[in-house]
Amino acid sequence: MTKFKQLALTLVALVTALGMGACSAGSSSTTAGVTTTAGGSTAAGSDLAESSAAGEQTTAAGSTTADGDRIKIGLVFSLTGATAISEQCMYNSAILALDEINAAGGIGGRQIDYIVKDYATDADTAVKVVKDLILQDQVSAIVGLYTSASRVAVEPVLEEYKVPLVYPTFYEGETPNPYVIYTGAVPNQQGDYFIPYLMDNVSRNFYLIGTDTTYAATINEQAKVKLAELGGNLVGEELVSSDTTDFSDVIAKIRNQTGDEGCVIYANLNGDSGTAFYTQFHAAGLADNYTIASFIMDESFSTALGDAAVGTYACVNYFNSIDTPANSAYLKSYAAEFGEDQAKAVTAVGESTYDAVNLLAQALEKSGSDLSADTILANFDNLTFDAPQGTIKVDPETHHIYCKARIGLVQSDGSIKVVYETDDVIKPEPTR
Amino acid sequence: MSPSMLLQLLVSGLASSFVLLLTSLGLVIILGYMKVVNLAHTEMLMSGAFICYYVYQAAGLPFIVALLVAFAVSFLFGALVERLIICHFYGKMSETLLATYALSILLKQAALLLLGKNYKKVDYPVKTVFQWGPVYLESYKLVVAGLAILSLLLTLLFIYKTKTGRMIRAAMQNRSMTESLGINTKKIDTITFAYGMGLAGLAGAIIAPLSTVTYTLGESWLTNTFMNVVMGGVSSLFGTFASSVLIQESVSVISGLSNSVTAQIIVLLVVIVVVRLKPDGLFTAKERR
Repeated sequence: MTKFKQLALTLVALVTALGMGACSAGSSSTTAGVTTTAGGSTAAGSDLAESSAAGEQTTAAGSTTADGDRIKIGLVFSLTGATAISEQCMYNSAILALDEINAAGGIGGRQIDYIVKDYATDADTAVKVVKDLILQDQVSAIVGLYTSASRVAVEPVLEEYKVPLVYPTFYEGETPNPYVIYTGAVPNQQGDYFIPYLMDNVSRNFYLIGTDTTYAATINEQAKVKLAELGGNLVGEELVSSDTTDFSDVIAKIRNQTGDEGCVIYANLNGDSGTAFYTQFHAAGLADNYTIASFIMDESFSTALGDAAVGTYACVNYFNSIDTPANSAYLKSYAAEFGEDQAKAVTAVGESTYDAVNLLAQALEKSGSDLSADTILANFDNLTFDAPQGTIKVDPETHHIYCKARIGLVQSDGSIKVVYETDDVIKPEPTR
Repeated sequence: MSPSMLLQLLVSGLASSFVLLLTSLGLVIILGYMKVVNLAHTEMLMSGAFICYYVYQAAGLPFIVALLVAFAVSFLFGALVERLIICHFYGKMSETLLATYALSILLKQAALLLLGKNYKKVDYPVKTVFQWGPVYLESYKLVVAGLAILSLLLTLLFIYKTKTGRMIRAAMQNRSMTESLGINTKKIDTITFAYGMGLAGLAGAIIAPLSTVTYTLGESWLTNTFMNVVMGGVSSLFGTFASSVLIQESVSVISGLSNSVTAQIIVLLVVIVVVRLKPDGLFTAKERR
């Protein structure tokens, strides 16, 4: 019996340790470009995740007490959970931007302390950690979140406690929340240019595939409107559940319903489901006749998928391959911090997180000693930033950004080459 | 729906049913013969897929070696887990559920923390696509079907034609009688559990090329494999085979008529009705009472 008890205890201890690693996150702060390690009470799991991903960078749990010459902000990303692969680059970029800002002297001489929380791709956890950041850590602003579900869930909390959130992910659009600044693209800065480009350069026939999520459903509805407007042919439409990894039925239907004349497979599928579709589509030999075009294609997919991604189209406001001095500098410091391989997989959400932190720093600088939400939020109006993607500007009406729309084609080395970009930045229309 | 499309859907559905059969075999052994609800099953699929990535893709060894390594490692891991954890929970089905759930979390988080957050791709070992008239099939799907049938046959041989297999069945039917005949049922338990886990690891390695390998790979298989095993009858290998075919052919054809979300909903409803009418599943192994 003692043997059994010992075992049960060990198991409970293991599971507890693991649960902590998954649900909470080590708090960390950095000072003036010098980062040190300290033990403290940070959860072991998260520290492991952070230090393994961040390479040489180590986290610190130094003094986070808010005295007059420090500013405290919160970072909320899924370091574990279903979307951790996509959010790792966001987290890395946020840290990179913060380190750069602190190394350059901080905000008007004040250093930024940051506290990292993991919401593990769970909206309820997001609400909890955002509350913790506001009430316990008393942060002045929060940067982060990836899924729309988590953003929508925390909005009432932001309104209640009056703390601004800078949300860095491209998404389907909503009535702007007064406490949110959005630094990702919205559909009028993506799909409006994607469909016409594909019709002119690939095919006028479209087969729509989407996961049964709000995002994919919205994107495909907008695609249908655009196709009807421009006279494209809707050959077929398919909805799959988000855990689908077997696409043999879908592939059979595509083959059967689509003739020999070529077709755009407009596929907006989540994570594992998306990679399974690209893989099986390619293995079925369909890539010769039909071309996949997708919002989900980014450098994290294209560098991993190999042949299965080559020749497919992507559409977002930033690609790794953009040739601007700001982008070279960003990728260079990213590579120095996290490794050359990681820098190749830097995605649009990573870049927009980098922008998010830099825009926040500017807004904080303008706010001076008054760090109330209203002041910070008002100071975002018309801010510009020379971002890796080019100069972006915060729209004072919607608090979304003006950015260019870009279309990319996946190359054989896994990079995504820009094949089209708008001449000018486009005004965001999140509520269209 | 045109006849050629129906034919294509039936062929695709059949190919998918072998994938489902393969991924369910380990589960049915452990659930059927040991009455242990193994929630770590799908994480063993994930582990097997990672082994396939490291042995076949990264180290460049032959695919068959990757499969054998995946089976062997999973078998040993299964034996270890049985000796350390599962052996304390026999006869307590709900406790096995909790223990294996904890194990599944351990495996998943370990994969996340140790093996990195990126998509890992395993190339198809064979790449040609066969065509018979209007019907297409990737050659690798044939390989998977072959391996599934082979796994099923070897398992049947193991259970029904070997001495160990006879002991496994004896222990399942009447444990105390088996023990009084001088058979070490503890050892039998370890072998059965390890074999089930080994099959799961093997299946994971085989399905690795079909998508990308990530720590979340197991999640998408949880519903399908459990649904399949429950519908087929928890102690019947043939039942698992039959229900794999039934489920996947129905999904494929109904999806051809509407879409795959509707197909999954309809099939799930049918499974609920079947389980209500025949709680032991469609095909239950005859037990001596």
